[in-house]
Order: sequence, then C-alpha cells, then structure tokens
Amino acid sequence: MARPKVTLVSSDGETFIVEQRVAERSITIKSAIEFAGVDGLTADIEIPLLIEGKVLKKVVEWCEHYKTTKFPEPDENQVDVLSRPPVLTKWDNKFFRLCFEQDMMFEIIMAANYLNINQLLHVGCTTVANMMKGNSTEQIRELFNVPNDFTPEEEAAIKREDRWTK
Amino acid sequence: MYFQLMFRIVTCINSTLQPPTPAISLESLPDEILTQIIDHLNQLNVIDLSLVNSRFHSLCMKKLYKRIVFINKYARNRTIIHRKMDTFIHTNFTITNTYPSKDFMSKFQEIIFNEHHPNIRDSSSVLSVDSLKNSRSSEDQLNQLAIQRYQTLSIFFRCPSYYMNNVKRLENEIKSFQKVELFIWEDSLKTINKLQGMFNGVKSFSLECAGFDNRLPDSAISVLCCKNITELQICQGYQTDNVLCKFIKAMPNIKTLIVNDPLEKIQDDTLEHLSNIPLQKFCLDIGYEAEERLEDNINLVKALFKYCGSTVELVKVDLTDEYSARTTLFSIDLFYIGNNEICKGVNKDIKKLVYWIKRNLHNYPKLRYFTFYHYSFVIDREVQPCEWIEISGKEL
Repeated sequence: MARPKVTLVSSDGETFIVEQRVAERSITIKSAIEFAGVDGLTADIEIPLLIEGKVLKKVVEWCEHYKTTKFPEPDENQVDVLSRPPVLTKWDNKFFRLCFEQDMMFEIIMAANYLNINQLLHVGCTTVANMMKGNSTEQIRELFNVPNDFTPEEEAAIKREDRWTK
Repeated sequence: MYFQLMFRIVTCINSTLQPPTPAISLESLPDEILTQIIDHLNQLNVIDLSLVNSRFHSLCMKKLYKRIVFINKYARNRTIIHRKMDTFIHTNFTITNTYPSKDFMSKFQEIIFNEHHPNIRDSSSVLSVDSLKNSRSSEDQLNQLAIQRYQTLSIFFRCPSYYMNNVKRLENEIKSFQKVELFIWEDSLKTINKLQGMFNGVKSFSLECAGFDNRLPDSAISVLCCKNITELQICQGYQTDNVLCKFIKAMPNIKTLIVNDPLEKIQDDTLEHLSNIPLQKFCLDIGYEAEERLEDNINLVKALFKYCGSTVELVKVDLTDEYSARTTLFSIDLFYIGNNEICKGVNKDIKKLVYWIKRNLHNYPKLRYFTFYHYSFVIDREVQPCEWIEISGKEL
C-alpha cells in the first residue's frame, strides 16, 4: 500500500504534494497531522496554509532537501557559553543567496517561524546576520532599506553612551 | 470522513496560529526573529546595528550590555583582577563608565584598558556595593537594568559583614538575571551564612573562590546550593573532588556542568553521582597550569562517558595558547568519544593543525564545527571529500 501523501495548499491556491516526512519537517504541520490522525496517517490529506505559493515552494524545496537529516533538538535552557554554532552548508548558502531577492528571504524566514521549522529559521537568521557583518550603520540602513527614526540629538546621545564600546 | 478530517485540520491550524504578516523588509520582522539575527553578530556589528533605528537599538542593548559587576573596595587584589581579566576576555567582558565610579573603579578600568589589554573594550557596568548601602533607588535601577539590558550579574565578594548585608539587599533583583556569577574570598566565608536563600531563584550559577584553594566548608556549600540551578560552573577552589560531589548531590537538576581547571582527580563515586542527574552538557575548561594534570583530565572525560554515556551531548575543551599542538589534538580526540560537535581552542600553529585535521577527518565522523582562536570552521559533509568552510577569521 502506497504511503499517504500530504497536499499543502498555499494561500493563493497552489498545491504541493509531498511525503509525510517532508511535511513533518514543520512542527506545526506535524502537530496538525497528529491531531487529525491519532493512530497514524492512513489516507492522503490536504492542509491549507496561509503562505503564498512562491514562498511555500521554496520552503518545500528546503524540506525536501533535508528530509532525511537529523537536526539537534533546541534546548531552551542553553546559555551563551555553550550555544550551538551556526552551521550553514554550501547548499544553504546557495538556497538563500542565489535563488531569490531579499524580500523573499524574509518571507521564508517568516514562513519558517509560522511553520515552526527551527533549522530553516536558524539558517535564515544566520544568513541575514552574515549580510550585516562588516557593514556600517549607514550601509545596513541602505542594504535593508530601513529608515532612520532617531533625531540628531538622540543619535548623538546614543553614540556618547556607546563610546566605551567602540 | 475526508471532509471531517479536513475540517479538523483547518480548525486546528487556524485556531492555534496567527497568520504571518507579509514580510518585505528587515524592519517588519518580529522581535523574536530580530533577536535571533542579533545573536549571530559580534559586538561591533551589534553596535552598528543599534544605531540603525530606535527599535533595533532597544533590541541590541540586551546583547551589548552583558553584565553588571558588583565589587567592593576590599576586592582590589590586583592578582585577582588580572586573573579575572582573562576570564572577562573570553566572555567579552568589558567595562563602561556608565555609572559613577570611585577611585577604585577608575583603577579597575585603567588596568583593563591600558595596562594589559588596550584593545579590549566592553559594555558591562561596574557598580560598587557601597552604592547599595543606603539607596533604595539603586535597587530599583538595578532591577530595571536586569530586565532591560543585562543578562549576567557578577558579584565580587570580599567583605566584612556589613557588605554582606548590602549584597543581601539584591535578593529580589537576582531572579531577573539569566546568570549569576559569585566570586568570593576566603575571609567572606565567616559570614557567608547571611546569604542563605539568596540564590533560590537562580538557574545559571557560576562560583569561584578567589585566591584560595582550601576546601569549601559544608556550611558554605549549603548556603550556595540551590535545587533550581540547571547550569553550574565551578572554578578554582570549588572543584576538589569532595566539594564537587557535594554540589552535585545538592543540585539534582543540573543539565550543564562546567568545570574549570580541576585540582584533583575526580573519583568514581562522584562520576556515579553525575550519572544520576539529568546532565546534558559537560564543559571541561583546562587552561593555564592544567597541562600537568592532562592525564587526569583525559581520564575524567573518558570516565564521564563511561558513566553518563550518550546522555551527555557536548564537551567543550577550551585551551589557551600555552598548549602544544599535541594537546589541542587531544581535544579533537574527544569528538571520537562522545557526541560532540564543538571544540574551542587556541593554538599558534593553526595551519599545521588544520592540515592535520583535514587529513584525519575520517576519524571524526561527528565533527561538524570547530574553532581555533579567531578561526571558525564548518565541515560540509555533503561534499566528498568533506569541504571546509571558514566562517570567520583571517585568511589562513
């Protein structure tokens, strides 16, 4: 008997048929499946998601790629001294950097947060942090199109406060 | 049946989750995601980001201001200060003059900034225990700072009894910190019972006896132990086998244990107790003069895995640059013993080490990430032969 398939439906009606283990990379979807079939999934199911098709496509691509990978469990009690380092594979770098534009990257991070895919969220955040590294305040504003809402006086006060840290 | 199932799934997802708001910019990401991004930045990058706009500024402050140090004038033994400076450097500790400092505070800063480590700057604050003496506002201020900015409270504790009373006034605020570090001197032990119950709400606790190697008396252990502690760091003076064993017995919820510079061989009896607590992470920090006890340390780690087995996920061996390449390579060997992923070390001969590790990578199937001083590497095992990605540091 063929294994049941999971159909993920995007907010704009696009469908993605995936194996259960691919869908269950998302803790959110996994919980939903468990809720629907307490004794295990016995029939194909369809899960509508509030994510656009173009974003869901990339998330599914990531989940497909890592469908057999075992990721370490996050530890809420973990403190900085032993925090887990970011592990970005070459594939991750390519996935985030070459495939799409910046707004898509943030959409994927938001989707990973919504779907509770910890490793994808972690990789996305690491990628954004890497983009910031080595840039000045002005360059970060320009790179990410963030407006400056400080008054000149406020900015001067913060710089004075930070002078010991530079 | 199918429609019933669909209804339940849709109901489940829609009723338990908020839909994601369309994200088109960095600014529109929620705080929890921005905080994760900031966690991946070094201090200078965080400072730059903090000036981007007001929202980033408030988020970055939590990262920038790492700790508050309480210190009194009796704790000004320069040897101790120098010794702690090294610890501070490892943990990005530095000091600001955000708060009014007296002569001693100025001296403390002068030593750190000018005499030995001119390039080390930081954003922690030094508060004098004196400042708490008659001031309720200091406590209120501390409470606010703890919540808004700081993660760690450090208390340097060398004092006659009236200082004990002042420190005791921090009791309510202490719970706000993620971590408490306590440095005490031998002369503090006489009045340490005044601290009874003070650390009950603390989850992460670092203890260090400053400048004495005598065993901690049972009375002090009973004051300092707290059942809620899940992370314990024990440093010089505390980690004689007898004391370590008592701490483990009294703190049954320890998940992370960090042992710095063990002075004595850890006995089997102690290791058996380790196997009875829910230990998940073990960090052995062997720096400074510990090389002569290297064999004991190797045996300790091996015994730890014998008793605790796969329940222990991580061993971090933090080495200083006084170590030989051979010693550092020993730490790599630890990866073969346990389920470890991190090795942090410092070694001058980095090229040689990296070459050696590349050649012997097949011996360390679980090694995915390691750092040497300024250099960090990730191993991409999907590429054969394994590819090494340098994620920080200078060109080798």
